[in-house]
Parts: sequence; structure tokens; C-alpha cells
Amino acid sequence: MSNRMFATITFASALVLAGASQLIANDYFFSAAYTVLQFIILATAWNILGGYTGYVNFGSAAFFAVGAYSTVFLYKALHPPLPVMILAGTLAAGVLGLAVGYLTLRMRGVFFAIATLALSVVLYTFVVNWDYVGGARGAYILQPREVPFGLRRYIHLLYSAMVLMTALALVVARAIETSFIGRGLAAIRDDELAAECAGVPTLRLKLFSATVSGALMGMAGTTFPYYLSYVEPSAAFNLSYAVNSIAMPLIGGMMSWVGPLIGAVLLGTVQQVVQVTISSAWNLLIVGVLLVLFVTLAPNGIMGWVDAWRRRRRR
Amino acid sequence: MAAAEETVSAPLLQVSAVTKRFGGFVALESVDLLVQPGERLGLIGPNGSGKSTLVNCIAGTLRPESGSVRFEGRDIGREAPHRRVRLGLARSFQIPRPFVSMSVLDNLCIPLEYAARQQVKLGKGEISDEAMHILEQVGLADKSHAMSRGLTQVDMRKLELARAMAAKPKLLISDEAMAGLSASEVDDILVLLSGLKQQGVAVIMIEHVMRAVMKFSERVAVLVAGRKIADGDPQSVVSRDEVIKAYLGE
Repeated sequence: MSNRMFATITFASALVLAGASQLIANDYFFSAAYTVLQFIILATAWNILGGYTGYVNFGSAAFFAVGAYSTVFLYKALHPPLPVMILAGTLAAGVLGLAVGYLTLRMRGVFFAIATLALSVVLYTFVVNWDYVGGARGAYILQPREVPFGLRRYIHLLYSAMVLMTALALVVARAIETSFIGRGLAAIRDDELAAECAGVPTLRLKLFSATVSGALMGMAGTTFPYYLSYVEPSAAFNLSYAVNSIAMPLIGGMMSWVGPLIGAVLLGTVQQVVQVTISSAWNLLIVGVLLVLFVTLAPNGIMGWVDAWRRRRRR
Repeated sequence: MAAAEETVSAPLLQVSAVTKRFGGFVALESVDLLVQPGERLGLIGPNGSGKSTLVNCIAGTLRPESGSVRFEGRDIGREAPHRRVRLGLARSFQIPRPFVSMSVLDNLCIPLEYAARQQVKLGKGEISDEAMHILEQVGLADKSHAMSRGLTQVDMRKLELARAMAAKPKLLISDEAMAGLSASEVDDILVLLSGLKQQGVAVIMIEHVMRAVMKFSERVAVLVAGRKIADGDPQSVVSRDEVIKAYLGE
């Protein structure tokens, strides 16, 4: 399927999904779905740098928080309309992604992962001490009373925005994967020196990959302040974002855009169910257990397992 | 027009006074090397004599402390390795470094797409056709869809060479492509490398298999302890005293 076709279908189904869900009366559906969608974006975005390019980023929470806090900042400073905030947060996180891309010049493997984790801690400390955006106390963001497009409640608007952003993330990830850029990134992941010596402009591709990955993760965070109406640093920089955005592609499969989608839907849904039925404290434990299970039993994720099964059948 | 004629008559590769140190260790000391278009040069020397370091300095994966590397008359000393490949300077690695998540065919598509395109315009279908054509040349056609990580050592060496060929170079540096291969496999690769001559591709062959070096090379250069001690006609070079001494000892 061509990328244009895929984009058309994805955006069309996103619109249908956003429209059809207005028939659902239960408001819990929207906040649960919002969370799952948010994880789909994070996982898909993480996979562009982590899965396609092979640079494991432990700092997803930092990118997410940059998106969230860029919204908080704009809310306080200019109060622009929501689309402007989404765009601004995406760009800000993209710039951070570019900076992280330059880290790949000197670091790879474990060292790169630790550096991204450190980046997250540094930004966290910065935000905690930045009074304008609320510092450690956090900031209140009021949802506008009037909801556009005839939607009943503001969460419906946020949910619809999230559906569209998810569609965008999937389209971008798939377009990268199927293009010559994706093949170049795969070469970098396999052997960076050999890739460079095969004519692949490794630095430029890594910068591109890190920027797009960071921008999309930031995009996922831009509507977060409105979703909760209140943001504090420990919520925006929550460990669960970093852990989940790694765990989901790992469980789903890191070689294609489908893997993170499957992983995020599966893990995100399980976490939502557990949160309601058992307790919210169990969330990360479940992620951990599933991660251990998959790393030992299906190291290439669900998609890797499916591929292997298909190959066996063909023979 | 005059400029174009000048570059034709210029040497393809001109390495001048290249020096490379690792800390206090001098790996290359003021090494000069010339390669003419289409020439077949054998580069020999004992282990640790700096052959691979020289390759790395030419390919751009190492930066020499001093000296210059010119390709087709142009100073490429500051160019990144991928730029040099695109200009037509490809190398294979001593220890094969295949793209392990890809099939054998896809391994070749990377340089075809990223490097060879600078030389010849290739359409989408032409890339895999050309990759297949190269695989036929090296005798890997029947394994084109196998995963590269499952290949035998011999096949990996062939793949390594094929990937360098896929960059459509004007100069191919083959870094010990034959180590550990049987006599008939050495002959296979010799035929392959000699075939490149017909396509006008110059080859620097780094090798320990002397039979192959003597059969292949039009000229032989000898590196010992980071210095070039001999350069010239193969027969006369290997009969020189200092070359014999370097290889066999006093």
C-alpha cells in the first residue's frame, strides 16, 4: 500500500473513530482511550529512534514533559488556541530531539541510554525550580467552558485531538520505515560504520530520526495539562512514560510501525483494566512482568513471533 | 572542458605523506601511494604494519595527523566516509560487517541506493535487479533472500565484497577478502576482482595470500612498521632483500 493511501485510510478512520465515539455516553471511556492513545504515540515515536535506528532512549518522559510544559507556559503567557499549543510543544520537543541526536555522535549503547536518562533528570530539576510554570507546586490549567465542533465535553475534544495525533504518528512512522530513510536507519542499527562506508549519511539520518522521534513524543504531551487540568513535574516526568514507551515496542516488536501499536494497545488496555479492577499501584509491576516474559520468550516481540510463524508456514 | 581533461590524466588516488599516530605509537609514517585509474595494486606487509590503518585513512574512518588524500585530483581529507563512497571510493572490511537484520539482497540495496545513485541513476526496480546481478557475479544469487546473519564465513566475505562493488566505485579497496578461504575460493574471488578491471575499476588488494597477490597485481607496495619500503613491479619487489627480511626475518 502506498503511503498516501495509508495516510488517507488512517486519517479517515481516525475521523470516523472520533465521530462515532460521540455516541458513547460513558465518560470513563474517553479518559481511558485518551491514555491508551497517548501511549500509542509515545511508543510509535520512541520506536523511530529506538527500534529503527537502534538508539535506546530512556528519556521519553523528558520529551513528553517538554510538550506538556510548553502548553503550560503558553497558557500562562499568551493563551493561544489549542492547535497552536500542540504545534509549539511538538516543535520544542523536536529541538530537544535534535540536541539528543548530537549526543549520538559520541555515545551509543548503554552510554547513550544513561545520557538520555540524565537529560530527563536535568530537565525535571529545571522545571521544579521554574516558578513561572508552577515549580514543584504544579500549575492549574482550566479547560475552556465552550467546546467547539458541537462536542458535549472538553474531554471529547481532547480525545478527538489525540485520535488525530495518533493517526499522524502512525503515518509518519510508516512513511519513514518504508522510505529510503528507513532502510538507511536499519543499516545504522545493524552496523553504523558499515552503513557510513556504504554511503549512508549516518549523522544526518540520526539527527533526523532523533528529531522526529522527540517531536512526536512531545506532541503526545501537549494536551496533557488540559486532560488533567493540573500538571506537576512528577506527573509530567513520570517514570511510567519512559518505561512504557520502551516496553510497548519491545512487546509488540520493534522492526515495524505495527509493533508499537500492538504493544501499546495491549499493554495500555491491560493497565487500564487493572487500574479499575485491582489497583493503580499494580501498573508498573504488570509492565515489568510482561517485559520479562517477552524478553525471554519472544525477544522480537509479537510481530517478530508472527513473522517467524509466517516464514515457517511458507516453507 | 580543459579541467575535465586534466582530471582524466591525474592519478585516481594520491596519498601524500600521510602520518597517523595512536598515542605514542606511529602507525603510519609519511606514507605516499599512487593509484592510476583501472590499476590493480597489491598492498602487502606483515601483521601490524599499518595496512588497515592506511585503508581507514583513505576511506575516511580515521583522520591522519598530517598528509593529504586526493581522489581524482580533489582533496578529500575533510570529507566524511559516506561522501568518499559516493565519490567512488569503496572498501570492504577485513572482518565482515553485514547488516544482520537484512537479507543478502537488501544488504546490497543500501550502497546501491545511497552511493551508486550518485554515479548512475537507478530506478526502483533497477536497484534490486542490479543487486541480483552483482550477487550472480559473486556466486550468492541462490542465497539472495537468506538472512545475512546465517551465512557461512566464506559467503560473508563474498557478501562483504559484493556490498563494496554495489557502491559502483572507481576504486575498490579489498581488505583481506581471502583470508581463510580455500584455493578454489581464492580463485573465484580473483576472477571477480579481475573482472572489475574490465569495468575500469581500480583495485587495491590487501592480502596475505601471496599466490593471489602475485597473480592479481600489476604493481605491489610493501608496508613495514608504518613505512612504505618498496613499490613497483611485483616480481622485483618480492625479491628485494628488505622485503624478504621483513617477511621472513634475518
